[in-house]
Amino acid sequence: MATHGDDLTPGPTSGPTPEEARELLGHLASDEEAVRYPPISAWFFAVQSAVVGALFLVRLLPSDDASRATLALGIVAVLLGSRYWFNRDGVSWATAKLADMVPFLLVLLLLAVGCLVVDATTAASWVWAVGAALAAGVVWRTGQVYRRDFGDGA
Amino acid sequence: MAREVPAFDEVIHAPQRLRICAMLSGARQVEFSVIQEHLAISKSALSKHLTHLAEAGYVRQERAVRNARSRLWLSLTPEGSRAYADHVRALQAIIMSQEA
Repeated sequence: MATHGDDLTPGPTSGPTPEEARELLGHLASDEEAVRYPPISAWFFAVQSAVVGALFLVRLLPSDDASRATLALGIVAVLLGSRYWFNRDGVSWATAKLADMVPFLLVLLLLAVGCLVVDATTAASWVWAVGAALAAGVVWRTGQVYRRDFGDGA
Repeated sequence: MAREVPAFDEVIHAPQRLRICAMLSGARQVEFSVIQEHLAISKSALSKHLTHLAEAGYVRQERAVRNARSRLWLSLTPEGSRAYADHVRALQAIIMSQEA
């Protein structure tokens, strides 16, 4: 990208060509992503996948215990996400684009709903164990793709 | 050949200022040093760009002390967010005009 460094003069009054505009938009998207999506270590996704898997497994516990465990696991997930992603050093409340998150959230939601339906209609509570493995796999796979696209914060 | 420019904002049209706005659009606040490191420009150059953006009412600067260190936090104002979004739309319009 052609940068002006210390140049404080306005840009040229004639606009960029379509090719220049396309290139510029690409660079701007990259600058936005540097803030929205930081490099994140593999351990972060390993822990998050374990937490998400555990969120499914706690459905096998008695109701009261399941509620307490769900709350505790939710807090762990939120705190980790906040510390290493959204409120990391030098950035306050990074804003991930909802459109980028929808496929991931939708898959987890469908898994949870699927497990709920099977459990409620067939009493096959073991389905939560299958759901836990699948959900953890989804988080881990998403982490692999994320680290490939945005870097590994090792 | 000169071409018509759809609503380009002179204040953020300069590449570095545009890139600063792009980074600030990705979070509620970003620290000065994060932007400086990413753009790889000098402190004085970044300060000048920020002064320009702040005078236009596009960027807010807040100083905060954390871990005994003074940090300068930056954020886009609503006007700055609008100006940046309009500028991106203008760039997209240029691309679409070619495809039309």
